[in-house]
Parts: sequence; C-alpha cells; structure tokens
Amino acid sequence: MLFNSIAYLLFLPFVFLVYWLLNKSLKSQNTFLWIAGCFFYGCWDWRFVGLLLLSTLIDFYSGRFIYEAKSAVIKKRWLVLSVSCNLGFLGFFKYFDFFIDSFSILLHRFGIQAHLPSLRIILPVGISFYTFHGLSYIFDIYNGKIKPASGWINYSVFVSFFPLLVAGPVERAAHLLPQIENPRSFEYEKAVDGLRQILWGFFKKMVIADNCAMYVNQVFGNEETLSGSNIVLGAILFSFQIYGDFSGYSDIAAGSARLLGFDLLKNFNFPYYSKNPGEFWRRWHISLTSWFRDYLYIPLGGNRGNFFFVTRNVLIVFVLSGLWHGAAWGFVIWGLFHAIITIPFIFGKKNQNKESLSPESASPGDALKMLMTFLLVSFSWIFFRSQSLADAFRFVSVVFSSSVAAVPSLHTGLLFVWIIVLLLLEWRARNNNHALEDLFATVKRPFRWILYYLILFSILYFGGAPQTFIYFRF
Amino acid sequence: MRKFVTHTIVFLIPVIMIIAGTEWLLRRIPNDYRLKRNYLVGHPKDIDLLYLGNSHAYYGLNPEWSRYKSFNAAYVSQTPREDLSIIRKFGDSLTNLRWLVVPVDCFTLYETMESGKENWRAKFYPIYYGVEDPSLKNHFEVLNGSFRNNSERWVSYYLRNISPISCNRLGWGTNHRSSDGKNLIESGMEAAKRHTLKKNETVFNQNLAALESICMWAKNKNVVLLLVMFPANKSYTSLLDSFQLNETRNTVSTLIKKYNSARFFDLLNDPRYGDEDFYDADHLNEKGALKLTQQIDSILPELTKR
Repeated sequence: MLFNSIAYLLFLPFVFLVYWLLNKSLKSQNTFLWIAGCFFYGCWDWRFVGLLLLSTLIDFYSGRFIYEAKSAVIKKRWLVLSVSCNLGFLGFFKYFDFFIDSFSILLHRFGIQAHLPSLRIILPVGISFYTFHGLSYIFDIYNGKIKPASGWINYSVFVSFFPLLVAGPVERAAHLLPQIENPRSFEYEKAVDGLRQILWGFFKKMVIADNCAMYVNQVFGNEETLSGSNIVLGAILFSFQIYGDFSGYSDIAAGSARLLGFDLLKNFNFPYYSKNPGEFWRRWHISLTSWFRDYLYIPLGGNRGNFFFVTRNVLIVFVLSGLWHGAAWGFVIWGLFHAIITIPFIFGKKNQNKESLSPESASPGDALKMLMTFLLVSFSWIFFRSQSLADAFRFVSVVFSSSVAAVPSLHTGLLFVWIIVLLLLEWRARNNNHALEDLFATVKRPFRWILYYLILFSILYFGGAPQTFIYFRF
Repeated sequence: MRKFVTHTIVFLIPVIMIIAGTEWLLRRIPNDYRLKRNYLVGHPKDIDLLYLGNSHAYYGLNPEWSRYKSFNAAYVSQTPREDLSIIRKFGDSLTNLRWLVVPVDCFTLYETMESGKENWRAKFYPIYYGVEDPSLKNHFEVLNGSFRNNSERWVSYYLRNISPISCNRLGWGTNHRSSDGKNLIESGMEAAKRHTLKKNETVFNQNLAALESICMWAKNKNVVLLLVMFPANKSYTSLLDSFQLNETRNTVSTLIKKYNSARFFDLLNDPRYGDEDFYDADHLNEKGALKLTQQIDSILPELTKR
C-alpha cells in the first residue's frame, strides 16, 4: 500500500477513527495498531508477514532474556543470537545474490569458470528498516539504556508501526516505546499540524520528486551518450528527486503518526542548506546516520584515536551505510566518496560547529559553501542513481569532458519554478519541523483553507506520473 | 476530537464535491466505448458480422464497406479478455450473428491491458460497457488518469467543444488516414520493439483461456470464428521476434484443431498489401481497411458452406 494511493487515503482515516474510539483501553489500542501494521505490511507482500513476526519474536524474547540474565556470558549469548538472526535475515534476503554474483565475477577474472547458484531472492520490503529497529532495541537493552518492552504487543507495535514500517525513520526504542506503553490523548493542534505535514509531504513527493523523476529517468536510462551538461542537470534533478521523495515520505509518515498521538524522530533537517559534508550527514536521513554513529562508529572508537584509526572508523561506517542502501557496488562507491569528503571536516573540527545547525542568516560566504556542498552531494548521487558502476564511471567521465559546457537539451519547463518554491519555503521554515508548520499561522481560517486548497490543487494538477518511493527498495 | 473530525469533514466537502462533479462531467462526455455499447444494445439484430480485438481491427475493418450487416467492437489495446467480456455481456442478444472476427497478432497472447502503457483504458469497460471488473478503481473515471488529464478532457469537451469520438457510427476508427501516414521504417522499428515481449506464463495462459472461451462460445452459438493475424508492413514484420511469432501461430493452430467452427487466417505477410495501404507499419489506413474488409467478406460464404 503506497502512501500516495487511494488505498492509503481510505486506510488512514479508518485506522484513525477506530484507534481513537478504542482510546479507553491502551491494550486494545495497541493491539489494533499491531493488526493495522500487519495488514499494511501484508498489502505489500503477505508472504513476508511471517518473517516480520518471526524477527519480532526473536528480538522480543532475546531482549527479555538479555535483561533477565544474571551473567555477562549469557547476556552476550542472547545478544549474539539476536544480532546473528537479524543480520542473517538481512544478509540472506538482501546480499546473498550480490555476493554470489560478485564472487563469480572475481573468479572469472582469475580464469575460473564457477557456476555458483544464484537464488534471485525477493527482497522483503522494509527489511533494512525493521531489522535496524530490532537491533537498536537489543543493543539498548544490552547496554542498560532501556528495559524490555512490557509486553509482546507493545514491542510488536514498535517494530510494525505502519507509518515507519517500510521506509523509516529508523526509530529508537528509548524514543518510541515509552509513547507506545503510555496512554495517548488526542491533541487537536498536533493532529491538525500532522495533516499539514502530510500535505507538505505529498507536495514534495508528487510535485517535486515525481516530476524530477521524468527527466532523471531520461538521463540515467539513456543508452546513448549524453552531454556532460545533461548529466550534471540530471544529477541535480536527482538530488531534488531523492530529497522530495524521501523527505516527503518521512513527512507523510510523521504526519500520520501525529494523527495517532505519536512523535517520530525527525529524519531530515533541510540538508541542502548544509555548509559542509559533515553537516549534511547531520541533516540527511538523521535516524540512520545517528544509528550508525551510536551503534557502530562510537563502539569502534569514534573520534578518539590517531588519524588512521579515526579514518578507518569513518570508512567502515560510510561503506556499510552505502551497502545498507543496496546490494550494488555503486552504493559502496557512493559511501566511500562521502567518507573521503567528510574526513577533512572531522579532523578540521568544522564538523563540531553546532551553530551551523540553525543558521539565522546566510552570508555570501555561507551561500557559497552551501552551493559547493550541494554540488558535491549531487555529484555523489551519480553513483547512487546509475544502473551500474560501469554506467556511473561513464557518466563521470563525460561530466569531466568539454561537453559539460554545452547547453543542456533537457527542457524542464515549470520544474525549476517548483524547486525554487520548495527552497524558499524550506529556507523560511529552517527552524521548524516542516515548511507548513506556521506558514499560515497569522491568517484567518477561511483564507488558510483557501491556501491549503491551492496546495492540494497544485499537487493534483502539477503532480508528475506516480513513481515508487525510492527508499522502499531498501 | 469531535472538533477535529468536524473541521476535517467540512474541509473535505468541497473536495468531495469537486471529485463527484468531475466524475459526473467525465461520464457525460461522449466516447467511442459508449457509442459501441449503445449500438450493441440498440441494434442486436442488425449484426451478422462482428469485429473484435485491438487497434489492428479497429482501424483495419470498416463495417460500412462490408456487404454484410457488421459492426466494429474492436478498440485500441483491447485484448482477448476484453473481447470475451463483450461477448459474454452482449453475445446472447446478437441472435443473427453468423461470423466473429478476432485478431491474433504476435503480441496478443503476451500482454494484458493492465500490463501495457494503455492500462488507463481498462476503466472504460466496466464503466461504459458494463462488464464485470473486480478492481474498484476501474469503476471510476477520476481514479484513472491524472487530475490534469481528466481536467483537460472536460475542458476540451465542454469549453472547446472538441468531440473525443474517433470512430464512425459502425465503430471503425477514422483517424488513420493515408494523408497523414507515419514513416514506415521508424514506426516499424518502434512497434516491433514494443511488441517484442518476454513471455509471462500467467499472462499467456490467461489470454489463451480467453481465446478458448471465445472459441467455445462461438461453437455453442453456431458462429463461425475467424482468428486473423492482420497484415502489416515489412518494415515491422521483418523485425518481429520469430520465436514469439511462431509460438503464437502454433498455439492458434492447435486451438482451431480443437474447435472446428474456428479458422485461422495468417495475413501478416500478405503481398496484396503494399506501402500505400498502411498508416504506420502495423496499422492499415482507409485504403488498406477497404481492401481487408472486402477480403474478409469474400471468404465468409466459403466458411459458412463448410
């Protein structure tokens, strides 16, 4: 069930009404949420509901046994079991064919013709996300940060909460479980702002992302040689496509959750206003980057240590982060690229400048830094978006040719007008949760509603041909 | 909570009214499907010869040039499943029906309407023909096609007075004129690429089952069924996947051996059709349609005698 579908527009109000009708009983409410989550997931592929339930069972009981274990050895055994199962499922479904194919190619390079079995496994949707939910729960219990969930249903809701089930944010048990385990009360302003956030999410997805996709697909799906300028334009448009798509999804997820009284982790903080790559990674897919920081980077040693030690940690985190996105070498190179461009800012201490998180104004110097960071990030998206590593290198070689100075042949029409609207509204709202949070706060309701109708009309009229959410593939 | 629900409903009322209004306006726009349905309902006894199938038949067979009382119920991207739905809905009332022409081209068994680029046409069958369709979405105009496309449709009809009807009163598509034909080489390459499809067993079997049901219906009703592989230009036929083509021919040949009221006419490379007969590489223009209509007419008496 896609967020931008009639099915979801029917599903969400139904869940909303029944959920609040059950408000007198927390247990009933949570049970209903769990069923709704399983139904939502089953609409994607009912065959993998069992896998979701199995993963949930393993983590729930592992968490309980870790917490109750008297000895450190037994704690560690349950930790290893849970982590092995989670990573085992993820590794098998997501990476088995990738590693088999890569190994075959490697053997072929050495002249060995090996016919290794490739299973063409179907990737269960959302597995990368709910696996990381489970892992964060287990790690936090093991490290003594949280207690286990008070019941199987409560933990299941944490894993299968439908707004974040298929594409995040990667929630933390410490943040979401207390909200699940305690009664929620309906808050009018929160629910209204949730609807505004959903509206903004749909704008980003349908007007920005889906329209950009039309041109991006032409560039990256083109078998003919394009000019460097077209590829640069394609990369820039993909920057906006993936941002509109993923942050739009996150806004719809967060808005849906707020209708039910939940607050999710903020996943995007206007990343294209970053002044350096380090800041970019504090603003882009925040839930995932903070997950890698807390459960991989810091346990590896983080910033403590000499140049080679810290560099090693950064490389490991970014490469694994790239690999998390997909079983392809393009994602690995993308991660490696970001590691290389981020390392100088880690050592230069510029990455620790907290003032840069909420700039009150942008000087010309800041604007230039934002532009440079944006162009670097856009360049890296070539590896992310290309259908193969060979294609990516072909595109990159064309970008660095004289054809980059040619006039692009892509005619984008009104698209850049919408992108400018996006940038202006988001710049205005850079200290808020989302662009519509207080946009019409001083306007009386009838006029506010007219403005909402205009946004709705622009979504329906100017929305591009529907595309799958990019992060559903991960 | 009550305040929130009330405000939300009030907010949505104009939206729902616009959606309902758009649905009503769209349904009132004349279209080829409603025209064909109205003829089938209004003139059931006036149809001795019925043409079904895809755009090859829609543009290739003009009932006005046939000496028999005929009607063209074919349409763009119509597959055997839609043909069968039409037969099941209207067939029993066609008491004078003697012959049924159904195209079987190289892609007929390999695709469904839902799997192609023209999947937005699927809604026309349940809405205007009244045939059964399990998909709720296909029962509403507004749920198919973008808001912009739907807006442009009613603006085009109600404000600009442009009629979307593209066929004559007997259902033949009138848009493929020889005066504005396409480049045969380019259209041949593009069409051959579009019609070269990877076999999906489920889709193939569904289409075959639909064809077989049509054969069975024809046999039960004593109607002679002509399965025709329509003529096409060599710029197209020379690029077709030979495996796909042979599999289609073999499958149809096996089918007609089972149903002796069915015949297969392979006109794909018929030398009677030259470049001047084609609008594009795989669709006839009005000259080719005249030729084909008369060619089909000429073989009908022979088939009836057998």
